[in-house]
Amino acid sequence: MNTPPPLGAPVEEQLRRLNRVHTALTLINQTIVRTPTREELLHRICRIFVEQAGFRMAWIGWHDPASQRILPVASRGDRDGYLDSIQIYGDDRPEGRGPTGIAFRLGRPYICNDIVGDPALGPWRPQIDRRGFRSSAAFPIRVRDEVRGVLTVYAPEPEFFQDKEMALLEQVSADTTFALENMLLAAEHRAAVEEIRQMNAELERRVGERTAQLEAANRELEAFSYSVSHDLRAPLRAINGFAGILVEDFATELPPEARAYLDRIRQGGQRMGELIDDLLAFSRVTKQVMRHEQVDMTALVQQVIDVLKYQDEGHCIEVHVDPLPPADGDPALIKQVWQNLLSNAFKYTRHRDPAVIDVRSQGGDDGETVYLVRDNGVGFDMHYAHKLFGVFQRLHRDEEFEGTGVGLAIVQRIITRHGGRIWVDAAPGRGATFFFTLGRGTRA
Amino acid sequence: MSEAIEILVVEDNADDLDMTIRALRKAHIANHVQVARDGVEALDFLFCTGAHADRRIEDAPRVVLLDLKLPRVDGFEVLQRVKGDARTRHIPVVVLTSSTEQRDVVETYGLGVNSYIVKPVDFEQFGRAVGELGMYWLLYNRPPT
Repeated sequence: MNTPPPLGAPVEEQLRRLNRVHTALTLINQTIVRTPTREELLHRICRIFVEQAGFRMAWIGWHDPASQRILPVASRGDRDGYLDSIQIYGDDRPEGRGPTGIAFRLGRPYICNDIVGDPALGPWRPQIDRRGFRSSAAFPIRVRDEVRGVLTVYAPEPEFFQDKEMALLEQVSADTTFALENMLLAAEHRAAVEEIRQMNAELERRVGERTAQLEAANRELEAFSYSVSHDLRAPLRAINGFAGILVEDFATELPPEARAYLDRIRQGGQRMGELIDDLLAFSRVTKQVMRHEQVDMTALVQQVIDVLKYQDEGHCIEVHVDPLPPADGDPALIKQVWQNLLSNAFKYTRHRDPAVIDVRSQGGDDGETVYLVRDNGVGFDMHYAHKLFGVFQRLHRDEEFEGTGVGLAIVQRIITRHGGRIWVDAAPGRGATFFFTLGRGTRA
Repeated sequence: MSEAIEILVVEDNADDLDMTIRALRKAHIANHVQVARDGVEALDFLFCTGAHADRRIEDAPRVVLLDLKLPRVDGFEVLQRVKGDARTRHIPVVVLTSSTEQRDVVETYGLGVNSYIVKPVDFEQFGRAVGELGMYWLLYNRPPT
């Protein structure tokens, strides 16, 4: 829509005015791209209006929700403290009914092309007259769909703000909104990045703390097993040693009953020695650094069986070993697993004739390999299966089958360290089958 | 001056010491044994200082049985000093310890120990181990002359 040029304003003059506003818009858009902070941007906008576009004054007020005032945050051309001398409100009190207040409340531009005759400017007329303002326009500035501030510009000419000027000036306000929202986004982004950085730092700190705690616990454990190894053995050796010396040097002077008790002392000492050794072996399994390489399971099982058969001569035993897929892991630790499982199988089939032991593999869930050792030995009640892998847990009396109850605890620990699982199926008098996997290392 | 010392036993534990001496005696090699109850005494003997200032360093024992855990100066340091000195480096040192710790074995071999024996908890094995290692180093081993 075109307003006819006002009386006494020749076309050249109109073009000059439009050109001034257009210059302002162009410069402001350039400024928006280059200005990093909100305060700086608002100041530069005001300066461009006054210094480049020939306005008498420009200021930007920002709404303060607590006081309802619209407080000047940037201005140019206010030579004598006009903005400090006035109070403008965002609500509907008399000081809120000027052009800035109206633009804020209604959320649309308010034009006053005849300041001298506009009743809305009543409260501020004397100051305005003195400063030579003849027309003014106020534009709401939105941030995220909410009016937060107002840009007000004053021209020395009456009837300055026509359709074309207004269109350009509204563009300035829209561009300012765009810039402010971008800054907000950037600030939020920075805050988010900072938050992530802090969370990472916190996480790292906590990981460090935990690691230190674990290392301390590990050192403690190491010191513990070291002192078990050193300090518990010495008195034990004294018990065994001096009991032995008594038997050796004074056997003839001792009544048979005393000798029998001495034997019991030595057996107890020996038993304690075995327990200490096994406990240390168990703690070593945890501490030892693990190697990872391909392990020939068939060969490993055969080695273990050869030794067991040699030690168990005279025991009629049939061992069937199927070819087994190779595994990925620590050869010494995996050998320990076979050693413990197979020596158990030998031990608990001692009274069978023939004893039959099978070593096989089968496919498990998820393509993993399940290795198994089956025997036809004494077996056990599955009711107690949960105790089987605990340290010093035994399901048989010493008189029946010797042992310390550490072997299967070691087995389980090694398998867990490889990321695998172990489980068992058994029945009293009908043998036992141990199944295990070694985690991803044995995936086909 | 008394006859040359053949075995230096470095042992702080009185029980272990008694059993060691007894085992050496049973193997008939307990005649020329010197006992040191900690690392300082051992070093004084080996390097002829302190209470042993009148000894000559050339009169080295034919073997040292060395415990690792000792008061004042421990077995590692004794081993290091002996093997780090050209005058004593040739003396065979046998670590006789309670420790089954792998790192102790590795460390002492790194320091140049000649043998590492874990004291058996079993009485008969203990006697046999001490007796045999005494025999080995005194009768069978031929040191440089």
